Amino acid sequence: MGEDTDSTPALNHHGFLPDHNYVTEADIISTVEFNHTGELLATGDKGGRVVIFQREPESKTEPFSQGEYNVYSTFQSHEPEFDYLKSLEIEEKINKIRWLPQQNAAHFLLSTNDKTIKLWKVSERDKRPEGYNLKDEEGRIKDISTVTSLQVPVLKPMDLMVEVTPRRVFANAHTYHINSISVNSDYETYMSADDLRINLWHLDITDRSFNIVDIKPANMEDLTEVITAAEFHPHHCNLFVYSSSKGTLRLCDMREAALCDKHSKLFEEPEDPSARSFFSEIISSVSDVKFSHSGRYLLTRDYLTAKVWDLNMESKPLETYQVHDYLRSKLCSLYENDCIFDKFECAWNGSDSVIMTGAYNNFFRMFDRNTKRDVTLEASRESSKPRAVLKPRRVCAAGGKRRKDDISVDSLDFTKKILHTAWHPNENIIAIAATNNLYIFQDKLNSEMH
Amino acid sequence: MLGRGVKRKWSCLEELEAEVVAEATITEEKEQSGKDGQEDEAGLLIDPSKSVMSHLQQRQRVLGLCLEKLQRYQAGMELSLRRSVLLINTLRQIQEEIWSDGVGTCTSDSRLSISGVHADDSCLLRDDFREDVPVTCPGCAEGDGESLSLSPPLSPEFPSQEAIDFPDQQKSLPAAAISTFSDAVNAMGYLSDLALDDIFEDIDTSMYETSDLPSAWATGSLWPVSVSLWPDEDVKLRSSSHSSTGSLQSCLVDLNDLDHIMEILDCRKVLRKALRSHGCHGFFPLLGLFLCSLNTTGI
Repeated sequence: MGEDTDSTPALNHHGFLPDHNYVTEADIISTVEFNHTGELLATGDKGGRVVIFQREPESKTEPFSQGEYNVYSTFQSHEPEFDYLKSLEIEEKINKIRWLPQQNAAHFLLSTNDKTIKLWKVSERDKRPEGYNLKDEEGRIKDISTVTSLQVPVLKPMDLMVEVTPRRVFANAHTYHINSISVNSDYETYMSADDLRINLWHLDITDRSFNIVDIKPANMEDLTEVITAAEFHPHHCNLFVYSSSKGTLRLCDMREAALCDKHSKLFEEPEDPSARSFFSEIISSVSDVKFSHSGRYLLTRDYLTAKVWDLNMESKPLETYQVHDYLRSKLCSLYENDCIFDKFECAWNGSDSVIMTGAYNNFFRMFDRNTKRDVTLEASRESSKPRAVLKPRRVCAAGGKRRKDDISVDSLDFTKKILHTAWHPNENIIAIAATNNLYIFQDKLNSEMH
Repeated sequence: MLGRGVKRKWSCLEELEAEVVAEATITEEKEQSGKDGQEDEAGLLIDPSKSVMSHLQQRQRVLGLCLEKLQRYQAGMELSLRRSVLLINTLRQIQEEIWSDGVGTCTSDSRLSISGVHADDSCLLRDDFREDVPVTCPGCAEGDGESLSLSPPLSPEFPSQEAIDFPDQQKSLPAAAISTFSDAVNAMGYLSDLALDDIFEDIDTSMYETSDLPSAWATGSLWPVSVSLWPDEDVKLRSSSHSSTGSLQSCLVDLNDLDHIMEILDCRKVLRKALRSHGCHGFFPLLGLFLCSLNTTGI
């Protein structure tokens, strides 16, 4: 993020400034995703609902309110289900949303819960036909005897209505819980990954899918590793990557074989024997993997770090960023309260120069890959009023030297976790999900980070 | 910890504990500062008084938490497959570590005959223990290095014993600690005198002598530790053990052994129940590994 000479008096100096914060009916947000232009932002929640925000076009009259996001549509994507055979409830929580690239006036998105993926069409209706011959304005059938002449119905403008309709339902293909979906760059296929298998679907075909990865062992007792995330390469439609609970990444080429159990590349950092503890494996489990926009790099997040990998180098990551290393001595307590199993997501900015990920206490972190500077920011109503600039935060060790406004490690709130973040594909706009609140921050200036 | 007839002054133990704890702190801090070598003064320095936990204690705690979390599954709360795998891998790691501790550190008195013990033929309370085979309790077999009390310390002096053996951490042990330890180990000899058969004859083990367990399970390694997850049972056991083994009342080790054994049995019940009720999720046959290792105790 470079310097920008365009500065406005009210907004000078560093940081992001919040536009709005939205409360989504006390339900916990479980996924956040911008579409390919950044015009739309979709969030899914634990209640199975999807809320889509749309960016308002810049208005000339009020330059500071450029591009605010307002609610565009809300719909119920998934309902809770009950699997009678296994006596298990299937949660309606939306695990992931992925937008399809736009090909006509309508927008399409895929949303998934643990078991079922749905394709939704989001379209606008702003005209309606008026002047029917057989129906009156309210739709009631006219009495034929009153019709004396014929008219041609005409389209008249109406208030904008956003319609969301389910177009496909991809069901019954996953025994285990779906954790990822990813649309292929061919715009015809997509994949869905659960703990042990990855399936390839065609967007138009719902009654079958191809299994492309299967790591289920013949004897479940031998199971030691599960799939945690998967993504297609942004440009090469034959390549995809999946991450595991053991901290490995596997790049697979679908041209090699129908079943991609054998990886083309295995990315794994050798373990540091001096750092080994009971929790080494748990904290090495990769919770999210994202290709860079260029397709050259991979970004992974494990419990304490975010790593950038070069696709050409399998032996170790290119860069490692400590997200909250102060937690390393608290792993036992975090294990006890299950926080060690939290799955944080990560994001690239549009130019692949900055990476972002969430942490606890409603903090989120950004790392500039070029300047090697990083910043910790907080997403909370108390600390951010509309139009105010976010103040960088700092976490200090208990008992260490403490500056004013620093937070001590012991006073971190581990129930306030930022698991889901998203970055606008082109601009410096970020969406942060803090439990049931969504924060959208915009960078009015290209700010420096420190 | 203390064998029958071994007297120890309270003050001695306190000193010992302080020494060992101090050592643990120093080593931990060194490890930490080694890890965060780049930390500035505002970086992370652990406050020793808050976060010191000996390796063994931590292992015990993690083990207990593991079991507790896995047990929640049995209680109806669904555990994600990822979490189950991570928990069970952690359990495995602890088990292996304890096992390697036990095999690697055989400094014991010959009466223990631990050096001859391998996982498959560990003489943990088999039915034929009354022969000359010296008997060791599960908590003891994996290591004379292991403290004799593997459940969370029943009394304050125990941690010092537990803290003693860290073969993989290269802590230099104070001489006093080593001698204390050998005393405790010597006291293990009592077990060969013990008529444990009597204690166990009323325990119904038919549930556990199944032939339908896969052979792979039968050669599982030791079930290393038991954890006091069921405090009520502990209370009951203590009283029953007192009555049946009056001569051992002064020996706290005995109580711990019985606790271990009963806890193992309870543990097995829990795990077996979890196994039975979750066939579909597919993964919990893994818990059978632990069941089978308990099987090798011959209980």
